[in-house]
Amino acid sequence: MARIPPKPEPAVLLHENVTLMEMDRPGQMEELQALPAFRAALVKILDPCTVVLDGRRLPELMASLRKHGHNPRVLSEENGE
Amino acid sequence: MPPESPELFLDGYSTESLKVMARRRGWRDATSAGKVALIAFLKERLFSRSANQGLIRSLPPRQQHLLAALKARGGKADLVTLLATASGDGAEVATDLRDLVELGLMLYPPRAEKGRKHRLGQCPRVWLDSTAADALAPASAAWGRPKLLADPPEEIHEAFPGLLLADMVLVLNSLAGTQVPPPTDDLRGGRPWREIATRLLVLEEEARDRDVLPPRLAFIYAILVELNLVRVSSGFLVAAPVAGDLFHGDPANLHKAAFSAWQKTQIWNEFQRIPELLPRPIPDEALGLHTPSAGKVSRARGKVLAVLKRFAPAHWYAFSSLERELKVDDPDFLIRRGDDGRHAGTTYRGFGQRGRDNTVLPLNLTEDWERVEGRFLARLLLESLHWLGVVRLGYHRPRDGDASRVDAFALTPAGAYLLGLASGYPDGRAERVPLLVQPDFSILCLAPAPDTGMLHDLCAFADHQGGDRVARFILSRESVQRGCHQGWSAESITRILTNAAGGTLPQNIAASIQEWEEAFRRFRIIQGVTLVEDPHGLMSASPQAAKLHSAAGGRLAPGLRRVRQGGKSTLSAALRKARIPVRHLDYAAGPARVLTFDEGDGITCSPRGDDWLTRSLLERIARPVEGEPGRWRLDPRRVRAAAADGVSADEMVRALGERSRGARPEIRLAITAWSRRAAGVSVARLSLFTCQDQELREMILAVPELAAEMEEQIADDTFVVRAGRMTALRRALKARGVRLRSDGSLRDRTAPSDLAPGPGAGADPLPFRWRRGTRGSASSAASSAQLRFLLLRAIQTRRKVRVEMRRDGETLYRSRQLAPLVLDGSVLTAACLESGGRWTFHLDQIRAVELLAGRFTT
Repeated sequence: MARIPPKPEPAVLLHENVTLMEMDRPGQMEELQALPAFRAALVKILDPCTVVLDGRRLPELMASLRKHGHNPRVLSEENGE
Repeated sequence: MPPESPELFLDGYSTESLKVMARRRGWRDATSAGKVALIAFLKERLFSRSANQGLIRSLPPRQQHLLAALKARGGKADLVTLLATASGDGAEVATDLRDLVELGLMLYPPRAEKGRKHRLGQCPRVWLDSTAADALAPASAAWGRPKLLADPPEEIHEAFPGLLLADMVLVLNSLAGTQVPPPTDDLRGGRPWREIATRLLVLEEEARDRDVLPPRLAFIYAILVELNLVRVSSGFLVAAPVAGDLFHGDPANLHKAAFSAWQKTQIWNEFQRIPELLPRPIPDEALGLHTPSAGKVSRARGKVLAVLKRFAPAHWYAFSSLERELKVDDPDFLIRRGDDGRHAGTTYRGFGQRGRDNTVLPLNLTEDWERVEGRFLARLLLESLHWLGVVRLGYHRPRDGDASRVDAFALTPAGAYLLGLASGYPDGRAERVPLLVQPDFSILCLAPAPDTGMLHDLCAFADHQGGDRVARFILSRESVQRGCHQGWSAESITRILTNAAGGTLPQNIAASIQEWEEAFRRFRIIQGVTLVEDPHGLMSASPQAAKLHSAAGGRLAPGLRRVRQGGKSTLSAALRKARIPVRHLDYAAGPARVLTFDEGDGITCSPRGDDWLTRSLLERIARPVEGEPGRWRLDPRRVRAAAADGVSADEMVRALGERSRGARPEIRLAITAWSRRAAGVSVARLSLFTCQDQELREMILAVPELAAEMEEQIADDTFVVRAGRMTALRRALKARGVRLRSDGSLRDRTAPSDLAPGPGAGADPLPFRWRRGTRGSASSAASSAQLRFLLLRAIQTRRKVRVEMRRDGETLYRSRQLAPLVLDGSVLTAACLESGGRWTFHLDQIRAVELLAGRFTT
């Protein structure tokens, strides 16, 4: 059995280059979870309107969203757009 | 005997007679005083200003042009250039030159070389006699006026300026978003152009079967680049912001800007587009090439335009008259025939005439002006000036595929305006008709001179579908939402369309645009966000908590804040100042090696592996081991659920491998096998045989009877057993003393795949309630298969169920207690225990099924 290393000292975690998805009302999460591509890309639910997505699965998610009639805005905070 | 008094001798002769007499006499050999006196007299008589005028008018046309060419070049020219300007062969031109010299209109040798005996071939230059030059001025002015065509051409080609401007808009908007490197000056091919051409096929029918950019669109593209309307941003072509202002402005200004851009552009090169000319290697490049550079071509355009101004607008002229004007006025307008030793020789250096089988034949500098400069002129008229709407082209007979021929031309009103010959721009606005917005979401621009501003707006939120004289657009959800990305709203789109359509818009169009915009506003994805998580409350406990929270940005969840754009450095500095340790988790940099694999299907996650992606990965394919933090065990049901969501086995294995030193083969095999089941392969038929002992494995496979039971090898130590032969294999092995141990994860292989329980069920007791789409519950990924599973169990065990269902057209779900009787495909027949009736449902109408404890009887 592998030895579990000791826990690192407490620290503030800075999650960088995270991909977020924001919705305009809480009920939409339920609608999106019907899409397999969304479930596959979903990493963490932060609040009823905000989720963290796996950035690498974004192309598949966008294709699936477009197929179902959604065309979400994709913004980038890095480029300041 | 020479006459003693030349005046007496010649008094009775007319000027014309004297001219003939002078030509026939061998004056160059004259030595006698009488002849000298005669020459002096003749010169005085013939070459006075008034006499010269008459003489010049009586000269043959070829000699008149020689004189005019010499005059145009400042009265001095080298013989090679002068010979090149004249039509006719070299011997004829030489005779003309000799005649002109003998008549005293043209002089050689130059003054510095006077007294030497010269022949034509030995004289590098000729000079224009001063009196002849004076006399030439009025005469040449008369010759310089191009003559009108007697009959207008039968076939006329005209490109409307409005279409050029409209296509500028369409090309620019079609190019926007194209991933291409910046354009090169190679217009005859090259990858960028082909890529652009692919995007532009809808615009140009003739390009449908070609793999190069249609020349007209390449021309427009060159103008757009010259106008700085196309920018390259991160490898993508984008339209410059000023494009909107330009297209919404005065069409005269836009046309003028395009015309000026063409004069300056060095991307477009008409000389390279002459199909009859091919590059021709030369042995000694030190002497220089005659091939004009892009800069020289650009300057040549200006010289041609200067000559073109002599032609009256709207009148037809022969193309040859333009050739003649330019040949007389400035034969070196494109290619300079140097007299400084460079370009020595008699042929054009660097290119030649395309011969048979693509051989290249030399072209003579003096005799082939029409084949080089003339063809360049034709190319200017046929393409650039025609596409710009400056000239219309005329043909006396059908072109018959001769793409380089032009018989006649006439300046258009727009051309006259651009050349400064007319003050007013032909305004097409009066001819405009409203847009036609049809209920099938198509928009037709019927106007012959479309409003470029309106077209530019349309391109933002509608897809251009081509069309010849009619620009056709299609409104779609995607195009409207693309417009929303660029800042358009449903209200502004509707307003523009209503105004352009003359005040009416089909009701379904307005409603759809509104609906599409609402769908667009629903979700927003933001990349590159920084979040700060404080799981231990270090920031709140700090004395500088307020300052830290202010720097950290808005609160998203307990202990989690979203850092404002550009606020990362401020936050880092504040945390450093407060002496709070920070750990960076960069989701773009790739995961660290935080996973190790235990024996079997165990996975250990290091405490450093607390990034959300690793956590999400583990939750997707494994379940935590109770009482052992950081320990996980692969869960076949979760793997199947992930596979059902579209995450392939390769992706799962790769994600595990990236976070470790490579996934173990057993884990890879297990994930692959479980994913196959989720993908619809019947597990009842997929029996795997695994033997990790290589020696034993080879012994087993050496027995033909046993090897025949294996269908396919899927890993070094794993085989798929032939369908239905697992029991036979087990018996055969047992007979040979080998006991086959079944893998627990495959124990339920008799379950049909469509009854596979969903995630969360695992080894837990049978789930009794499933509901679609409730995140966080054990049945988060409930599907029709899972509902079927519960209903079938209820039918088999005669247990009551509670369902949440709604009929088609209803918005709210109702809860009903049912006795399920028959499940036929997706249709359930059940007795309603509340109303007593017998109902039929489609599974899609049911949201949740709960298995109740009570049983029913038929």
